[in-house]
Amino acid sequence: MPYLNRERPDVASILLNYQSTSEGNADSYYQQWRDNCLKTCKDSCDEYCGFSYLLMRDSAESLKRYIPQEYLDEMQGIADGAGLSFERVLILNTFFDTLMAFRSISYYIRQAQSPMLIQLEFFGAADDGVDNDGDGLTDEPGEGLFATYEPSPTATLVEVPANKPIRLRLHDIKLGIGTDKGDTPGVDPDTIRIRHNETQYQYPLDEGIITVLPVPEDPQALDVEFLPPGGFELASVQTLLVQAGDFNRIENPPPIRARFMRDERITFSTVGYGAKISDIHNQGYADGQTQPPSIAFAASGAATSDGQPFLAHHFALLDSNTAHKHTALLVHVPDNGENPHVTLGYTGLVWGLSGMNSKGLAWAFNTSDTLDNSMVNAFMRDMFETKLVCSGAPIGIIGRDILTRHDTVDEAVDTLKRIRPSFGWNLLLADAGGDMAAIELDWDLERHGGTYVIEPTEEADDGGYLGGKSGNDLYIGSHYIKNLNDLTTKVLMFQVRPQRYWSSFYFRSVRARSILGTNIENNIGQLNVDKAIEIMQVPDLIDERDSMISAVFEPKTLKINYAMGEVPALNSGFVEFSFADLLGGQ
Amino acid sequence: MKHQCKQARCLLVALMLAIAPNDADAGFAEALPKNTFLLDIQYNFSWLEGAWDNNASMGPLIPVIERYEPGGGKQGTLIPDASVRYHVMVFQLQYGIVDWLSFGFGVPVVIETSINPRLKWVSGDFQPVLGRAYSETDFWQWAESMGQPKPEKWVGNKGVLGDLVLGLRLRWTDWIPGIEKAQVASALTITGAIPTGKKADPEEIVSAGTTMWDLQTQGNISIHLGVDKYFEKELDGRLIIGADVFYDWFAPQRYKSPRGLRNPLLANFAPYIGDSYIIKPGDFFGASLQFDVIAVKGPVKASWISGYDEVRAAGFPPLLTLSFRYTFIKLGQTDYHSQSDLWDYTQEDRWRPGFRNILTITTLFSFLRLGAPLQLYFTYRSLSLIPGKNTRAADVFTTGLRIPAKFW
Repeated sequence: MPYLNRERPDVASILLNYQSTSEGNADSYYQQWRDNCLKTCKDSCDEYCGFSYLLMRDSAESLKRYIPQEYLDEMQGIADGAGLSFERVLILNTFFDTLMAFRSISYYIRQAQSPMLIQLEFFGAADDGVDNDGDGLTDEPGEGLFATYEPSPTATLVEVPANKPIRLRLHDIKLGIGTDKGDTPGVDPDTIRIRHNETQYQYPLDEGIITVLPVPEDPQALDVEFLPPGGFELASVQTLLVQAGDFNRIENPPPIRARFMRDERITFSTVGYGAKISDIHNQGYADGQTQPPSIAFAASGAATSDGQPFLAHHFALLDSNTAHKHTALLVHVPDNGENPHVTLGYTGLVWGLSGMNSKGLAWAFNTSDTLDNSMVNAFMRDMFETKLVCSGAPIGIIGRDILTRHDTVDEAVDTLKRIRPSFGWNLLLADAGGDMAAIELDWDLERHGGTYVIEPTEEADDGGYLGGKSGNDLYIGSHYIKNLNDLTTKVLMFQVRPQRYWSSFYFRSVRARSILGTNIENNIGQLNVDKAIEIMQVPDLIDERDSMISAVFEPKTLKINYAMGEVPALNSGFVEFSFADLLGGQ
Repeated sequence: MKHQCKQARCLLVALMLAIAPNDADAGFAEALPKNTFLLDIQYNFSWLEGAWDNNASMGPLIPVIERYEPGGGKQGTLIPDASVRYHVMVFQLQYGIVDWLSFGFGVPVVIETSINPRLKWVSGDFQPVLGRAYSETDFWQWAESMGQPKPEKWVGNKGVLGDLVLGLRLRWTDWIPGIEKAQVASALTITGAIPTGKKADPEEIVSAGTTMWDLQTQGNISIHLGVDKYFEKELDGRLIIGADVFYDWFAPQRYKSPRGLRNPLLANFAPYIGDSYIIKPGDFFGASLQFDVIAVKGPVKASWISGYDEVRAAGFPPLLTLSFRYTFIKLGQTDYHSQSDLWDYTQEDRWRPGFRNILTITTLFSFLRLGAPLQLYFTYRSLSLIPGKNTRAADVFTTGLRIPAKFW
């Protein structure tokens, strides 16, 4: 909670309700509440009378309307047993939803005020006698120039000349509101870092390899040309990871720093490599900085060695050297005869990150950043006067409901199509009959449908695969692969753009899903529980810092193999839990 | 021959352990003569810079602290290179009830304790938001933005009472006829500590209390069985060899849990371990071997102390005695009991079973033979010279004076 308090100055620069006396507003909603809270607070007052507690409390109260009474009763039971207030247990149970929605907004605002990569040009691509962009035309005017940069899960261009530089145009503007008000726009050249494959370059240390050129017609822009010593390797896949900061020195919250853009990853092949764009994933290399996000995969039928369906999940988000101490496998047995089920979660939560019921329906969820969420909806409605609260069904409660009331993937998908979730999520479902589905959810702010179902056999528009290549497997990361235009709109001066343009998870997830997919493809027909565990232990798929819970569910035998309690979760080793034995013993 | 504390080194052996390992005392079996008082005032200075770890290697006193940014990996590692200083006065009074039974009472008063955490910083993961990894300055700016100040040198316990100690020594060999011929004496010593010491402030990152547990020197109940071997005939009484086995039991103590009132990031355990927790320190079981060498017997002067009787004065303690002691202590596992088994485990990991190897050297000057009712002593005791295991490596310098008196 204290960490979120640091975000208040940024939030208060736009949302008046969260201003304080330090911004000259002693009558704000936040300041009034804080003053009253401090009058009666006895301990941990910075925590319980802080911005983050107010945010979490208000949002929890709002989300409470979407939580069935039976789960609220469970929370009350936890509160009574633990000697905590119901309010705090409710906050704990809605923490994920509020945190993710709030994080997406604050991260987006931060990114909007940071430098951006807006244009990309591959010199020589327009006169090399090759169709570099796969459009069927060779050396058409503008080939090699991306006037509007587009983050991509695959290569940006193929077969480019290896001895010509790449030009990146960075741009930095400052908003008329927010903490940027009055700041100097522009990209600080001394903050430019380019990681080429596995080699890090930075300006001005590597001047000559990195060349910085002003853009006369746009002082807020900076052109950066990059060519590694000796040029790019011929007939190979090349990756650039680009980062830059602005001229500002943000002092509040400390430490003092510039505003830095998200690391943008660009992948391309050089002449002679031969593959087409859709076959080259924008996977890049381990950068020693970022970690893979949550992944999940499922297989059944011919994709497996034994015909037994399974669903594997490794959730990673937030541990902070604490969460792993409180993991729990919970068995839920409804009084009314509905499906008993197991969840893998944390003490104090009535739900889990994944689970399976007595009918063999297994589910898991990953986060998927989106601005198409309930908190943004509140902002678009109330603008500067808005309160940051979520609405819609909390993700954990969605999972409990599915496990409690449904037996098959088809039933669950029908329900999911009618649900409005609080935030963006990627789900994976598998059942004892071998059916499986991936579902991408958002709040559906523009009412074009917020539930995107991916079948194992589904193809992508570019001829690639949304489902698994075998037709009997599915794998998901923490980014959308079908809901590609989750939200495109304009709110005040903010050009709201889809997830791939701003989410800090995006490139990490693209890389993780690519590696996961390769490992699955390489084992089609050999997949089983042991192989699934082996795949999850691929180092590039393990978040060493914030891995939380890993599990493999076996819907037919009702076995759960879980690893949790350490960081990364896999370090604890997998423990087999037989739900069938437990149910048989009742 | 009764060894009636002729060197005035008596029950204080146990009493003074309460504050500092200042055994300016020889003779594990010596007791005060009947109706004799002995006032002992000593000053102890101890310094502590490290601890012997589970591999018997010298390590930091306080474990390193790994700091993580939620979702952002490791910020870095805080490495405390803590330095602790204790200044303690101990006032003791002993009384010979009969020749074979003495009573003692010790009052330790801490003059000052200081702890300098001397935190070092090792940067962690690259933070894309910062464009760099957290430097030490970055980290403390970040921490202070959440109300966590950088721990600075702590000074406290000024004039604070420690645990009072009461003790009895029973020299049981006095009841065995003819034991004198073997020039051997043995005594049973029992001490008990009254919990008058102060517990460390739970809200401070670096602080210390004044209880037996804080000082780690003696249990709340301590039982010693000591034996002295004299060489009056063979070596003109210039050597005493003593041996002692002992057992120290520590009482469980309840402590308040830190609530993050002053250190919200580094000391805020109450939300998940409960409002309080109990520590049951591991007990001590050990043995000592000591050699007392009379270096200088010194001249004899008939004075008012000896009733102007030169022969009697010759029976007073020698002018200079040197003592060398080796002590081995086996340390038991310390148990924590809170609402979090995991937290208990992590705390207990720091207090696993181990051992101490202690060397003590004492120089004692006695002026009774010269007509002055006064003794001065200087002691150096070290736990840092010989490796131990899972124990602090404290060194202590002690100086004190003793005044014996007999009023009836």
